Amino acid sequence: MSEPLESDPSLLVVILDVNGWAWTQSPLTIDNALQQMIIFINAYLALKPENKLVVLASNKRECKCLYPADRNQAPIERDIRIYEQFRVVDATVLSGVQAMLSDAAATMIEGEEDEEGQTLMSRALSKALCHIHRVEAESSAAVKVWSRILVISAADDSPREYIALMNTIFAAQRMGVLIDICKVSGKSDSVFLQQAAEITGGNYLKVDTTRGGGESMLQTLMFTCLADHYTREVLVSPTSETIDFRATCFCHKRIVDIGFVCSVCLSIFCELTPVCSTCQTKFSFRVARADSAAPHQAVNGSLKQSPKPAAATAAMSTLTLS
Amino acid sequence: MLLLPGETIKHTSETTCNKEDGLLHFTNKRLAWCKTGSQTPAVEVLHDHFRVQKVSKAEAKKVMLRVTAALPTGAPGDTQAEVTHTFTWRHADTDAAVADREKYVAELSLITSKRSQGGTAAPGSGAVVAPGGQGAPSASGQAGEAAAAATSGVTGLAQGGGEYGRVKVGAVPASAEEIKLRQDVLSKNAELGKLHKSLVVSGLVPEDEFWSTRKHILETQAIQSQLRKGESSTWLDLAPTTQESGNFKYTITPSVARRIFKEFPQVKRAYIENVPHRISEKQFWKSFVASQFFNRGRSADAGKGGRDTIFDKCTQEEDALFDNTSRHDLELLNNLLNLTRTEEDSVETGNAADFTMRPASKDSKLALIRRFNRHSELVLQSVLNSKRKHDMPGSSVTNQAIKEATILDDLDAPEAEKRVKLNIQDKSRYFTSMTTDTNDNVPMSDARERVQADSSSVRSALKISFDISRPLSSCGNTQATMASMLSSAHRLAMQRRPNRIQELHIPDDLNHAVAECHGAGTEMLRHLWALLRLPPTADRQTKASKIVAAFDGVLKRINETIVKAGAAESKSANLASTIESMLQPITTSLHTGKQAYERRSSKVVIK
Repeated sequence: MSEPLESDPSLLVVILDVNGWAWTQSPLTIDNALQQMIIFINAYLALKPENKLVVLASNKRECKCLYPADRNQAPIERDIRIYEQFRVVDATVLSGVQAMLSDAAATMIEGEEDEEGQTLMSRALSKALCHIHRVEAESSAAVKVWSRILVISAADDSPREYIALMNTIFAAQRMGVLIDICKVSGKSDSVFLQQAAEITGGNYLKVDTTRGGGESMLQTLMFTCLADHYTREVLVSPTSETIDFRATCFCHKRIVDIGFVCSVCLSIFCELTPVCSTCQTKFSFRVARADSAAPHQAVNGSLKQSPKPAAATAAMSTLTLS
Repeated sequence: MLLLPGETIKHTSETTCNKEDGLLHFTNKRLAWCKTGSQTPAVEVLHDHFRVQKVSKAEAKKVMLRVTAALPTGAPGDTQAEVTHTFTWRHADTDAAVADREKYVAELSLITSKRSQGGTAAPGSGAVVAPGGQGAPSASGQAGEAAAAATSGVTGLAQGGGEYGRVKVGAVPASAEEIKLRQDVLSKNAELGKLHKSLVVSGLVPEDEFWSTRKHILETQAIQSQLRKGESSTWLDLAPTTQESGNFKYTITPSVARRIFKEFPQVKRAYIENVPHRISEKQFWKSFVASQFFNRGRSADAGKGGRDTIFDKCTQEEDALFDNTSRHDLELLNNLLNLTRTEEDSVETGNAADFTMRPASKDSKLALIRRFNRHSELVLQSVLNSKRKHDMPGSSVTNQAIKEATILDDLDAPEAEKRVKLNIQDKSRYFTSMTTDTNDNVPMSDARERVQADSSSVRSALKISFDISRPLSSCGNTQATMASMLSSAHRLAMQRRPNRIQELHIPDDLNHAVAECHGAGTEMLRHLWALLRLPPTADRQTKASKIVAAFDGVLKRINETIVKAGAAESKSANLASTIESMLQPITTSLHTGKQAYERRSSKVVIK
């Protein structure tokens, strides 16, 4: 990929998490967060006249593109106190978010499944990447548009979207799209989003809500996420610490260094079991030869298939993880 | 000289030892040297004590023989207590002196070979026969090893390291061959050699322990030493060396001669017919090199050599061979050739015989082309091990070829593969290990109640009502935010800067000591964990206890290193704590190992 130039325009896709339930839990109100976000967006647009912006809002049910808005929207009233470009964007985003929240609020009272507090981030990211791809295809060959994604997230991960999320992250990495994460709710770190930032080269920020209720979000965003591809190469961003990629065992969720791996489904265990609890294969045990075996043997077992489907035997292998 | 009972003298010579004249005697029991006029030998080497002999070079002025022997008081394996004696022949006639010395050399080689193999070998059999090369004396130093190789059946060229075909790796105490094998492995593998030096030579790990977990390396090396290198398949180019007199000198060794015979079978035939009864070998090669046959392939002008009866015949034979067009081997015909090819198949040549594939019209290039072809054929044959020649007879091959050409895999009915269904009960287990949130479900149920109870407050929490012309009244404590961000950025920058290790300015010897501690500790731990993972037996238990005892030695070494670091001068302060943290991983591993061992032994005792 070519090197970014200072004059190259950027495309920023903001993915706003409008999961109502999650925002009620967070110490930072959505009102406050939205104000800061709007200022950030205006600042981004002010950097260069060619900068482009897309705003997506996502909750459990749907993912809507708030800006650029559909044609059949009500025309926005004029207000001479506000710079025209900004006014259009801000008003569109605001009205879109309000509409989504009221829709969601109506259905939320009915009380639904357990996974209320989760947003389908993979859907939003896929939409964002498709949009980015289209813009890059439509842009002229002379000027390259550098894209990045900013995710403002209040909700937690849902484990069932892991595969889809990782796919979008790798796709973003291939496309050269940076993903910045701003995690608003202070409860726990989202491991998936941390990986997203790490793999694509973006920043993972946690909003400090202990002092003052979170008005520092704007300052943090301006400090780290306003920089485009060209500027980021010279900046050192204050991201949070490195992620713990160590493997954990499936039975106790403990971190393991040396463990056992089922050769059929590759699930990790910390102690010997006769049957794999994930795929129900029975293990056949072979004792290692003591004489000439080097201690650092890797895989010791193999999968044997018998003609009867019911009794498939497999072997447990000892794997050193470090 | 006074003889021992039962001793008979085999050879006697006048030699000088330590600048004194005397007589050297070789008997059936020892090699002894007496000063002139003395009856008792001043120097005596029993056959059992004899170790190594060395001779001076063939062209040296002095004819010398140097004998190294073990001291009678020393143990057989003790290489330290050795003594060397040098004997010089002061004859006027060097040839006679050399011949005299050869007798002793031969006898001593006999001793060596008898000792190492238990079989007899002619002293010069293992030496490389090279006309004009070295004589037997200089090869006698290797005679011991070469004799060993000769008796195991290697003819011709002896390989460098000797054979280890019959070494039984792992015998305790290690046999002499295994020791040689170990030395070989160490010399070939630099890293292993360094590790060995630092661990075994310094006394941290006993030698047998070191090799007990590395048996596979020894076995591999033993097998590899038995592999024979085949004949070289490079293009044989006899390049002459120009001497001062302007003559060209061609070096033809037996291996070169063999390759020439392979390349030119006619030359082989000529050699068999003519040598040795018609002309001598030297004459044969001389005329070969001078012949037109040889030079025609090498230089452009064909008429260089003179006429020569033998090699002209070769030329004619070769031409006759290749002009004979009816040399097609009927067995190699491919039945699938389409004999009814029509004109459309080959537009340029039509259906006539293909004249584009004639051999070269220029005769000068023809020989070279033929030689290239023959060489390639030879190389391919050696690669394929002439498998095709053996497989040719029989209809099975043609059947196979027909079957391959006619049966298409795609048209066969697909066979159902034998499969077992993979049923994973709970796919989310792969991912839940990452989300460490275990109290996930608790707030959910609370929240649902809260939501149902208090919808109005929820709606107010989610209310968005700000004037976009006037967003955000306050920015919070910007100083504090900035400070925290800058500090984390600073920390990250410091973490990622290059050359952090070099900034520590650790002196080289400390580095070395740390590496040694790590290496020794890792080695002991390897042994311990290998033993602990196996079901316990009595001697494994004792071995493990020995290893754990050795841990203390390593730990002491570690402490010494830390102390040394504290005392050492260096640019960076606080070196001792740096070194201590560098050695931290190995100390923790050693402690873990010790604990595991103690747990295990306590379990065993309780049983």
